[in-house]
Amino acid sequence: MSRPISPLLPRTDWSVAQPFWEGTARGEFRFPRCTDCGRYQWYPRVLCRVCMSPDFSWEPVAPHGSIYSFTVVRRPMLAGAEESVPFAVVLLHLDEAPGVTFITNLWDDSQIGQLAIGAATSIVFHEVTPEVCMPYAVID
Amino acid sequence: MSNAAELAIVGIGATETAAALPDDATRLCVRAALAACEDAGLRPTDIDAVLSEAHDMPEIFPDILASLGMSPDTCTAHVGLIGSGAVATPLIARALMSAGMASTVLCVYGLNLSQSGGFGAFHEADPFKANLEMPFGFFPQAVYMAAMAQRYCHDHGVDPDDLGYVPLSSRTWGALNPTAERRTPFTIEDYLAKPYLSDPFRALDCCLVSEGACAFIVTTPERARDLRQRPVSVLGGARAVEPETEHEYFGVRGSYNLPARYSGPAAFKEAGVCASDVDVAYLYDCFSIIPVMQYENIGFCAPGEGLDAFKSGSTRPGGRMPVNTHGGLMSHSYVPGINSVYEAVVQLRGAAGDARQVPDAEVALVGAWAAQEHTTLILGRS
Repeated sequence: MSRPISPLLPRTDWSVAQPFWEGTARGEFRFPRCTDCGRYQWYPRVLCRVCMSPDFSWEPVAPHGSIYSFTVVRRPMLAGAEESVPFAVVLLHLDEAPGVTFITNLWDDSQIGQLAIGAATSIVFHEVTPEVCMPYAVID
Repeated sequence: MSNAAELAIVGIGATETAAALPDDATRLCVRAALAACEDAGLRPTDIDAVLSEAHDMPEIFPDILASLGMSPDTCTAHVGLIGSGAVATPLIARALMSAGMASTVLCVYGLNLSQSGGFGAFHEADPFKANLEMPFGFFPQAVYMAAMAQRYCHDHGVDPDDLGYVPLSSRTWGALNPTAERRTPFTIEDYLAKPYLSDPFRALDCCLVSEGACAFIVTTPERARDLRQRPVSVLGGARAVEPETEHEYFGVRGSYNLPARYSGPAAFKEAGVCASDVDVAYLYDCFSIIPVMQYENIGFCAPGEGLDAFKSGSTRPGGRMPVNTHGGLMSHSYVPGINSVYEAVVQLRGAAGDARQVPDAEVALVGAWAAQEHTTLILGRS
């Protein structure tokens, strides 16, 4: 079982999500929040999807949520992931950021049998390189 | 809409399809266009407008028009995305014809994916997906829609194994269609014995990857009377595009309904028909959960009941609501959206042959999906 599941790593210098990776490197789970209406937005957008304000700030959110959906990838469909299957992909709703759905893997595939919609889940941070710290899900 | 031009489909054409073909997309489109002209009894110079989808076709349009020898005042326009866009072209044709800008319109679409990087290439090029999804293995389309299917089955208390009835239904029709790429019938036991690809999907829950092209020609009912084939009327149609970004749609959107819930009712209203008037339906079947959701979203049944239609046999030959009589994207070919317009016209002409002709087919519905966009087109026997 390997993490990350693929050698394809996020580019932490991509300006749109750079604050997210700066956050994870410090063990923080940060998402863009509209400074006018307070709604969290993911993925980052030009304008708030609710009030159309262009002003956002990246706010920390508790690294905890529940499973919205999941799938277990059993045949590799991504170059470099051949040795990683089976691995679980989870889509999480975050307790403190309604409207945000976050996509990641189970940290430990031995939890595959516990996958269930609604399962309470915590986020752990895994340092892959000094620049790339990736969040993963652990079912509580 | 009462002042809008009426449309008749008077010619259809298609190339062979296969996982890989030697012809590039331009050549495939030209061949399909010539076949549609031949079918109608028209020459390319009789065409005064050429339409297609907006995602891939604009780049090759000059080559297609040059090959067909189109005159400099030929009107061209593009609408929508792969699958959905080509099915929406009659809506643009109607606008052009109502404005007096065209009278005989060629609608064409073709693809050669092996020459454009494969089905995942478009998604790989998206930096949101490349940076925030692919590192976690949320790629490609089969994985996105497996997660949608997982949630759907949970919400409606449906056994995910029943998804197999969707490809089974497509294959039952494909077995009757000489041009289908997959013709070997299988049972639900065969389906269940296959390994998972990405839970709850197996390879059979996914559509084909094909190369090929289709074309059709629309004109006025008056002009149609002089041409070779029995015309098929465009009764109505609608295209809906939800305000969702491409990269959010399949995952972080966190919900799984389709824009068919807008385009379906709008198309019915314009056509003056309702779901119970439809004799045959074409529901975009890229992955098994998608026709189920369209069946519900368009209004054929209530939420959660869509899979029953496939399980009960009502979508199969002899059933109450035949779906994808060509074999669909799953068994016929992946020339998305437009291959269903082709088949719907064949059915409404009464020309499908004994094996798969839907008896007395008078009204056909074509639903074509592309993420945040969906087109519903309603055709009628003239």
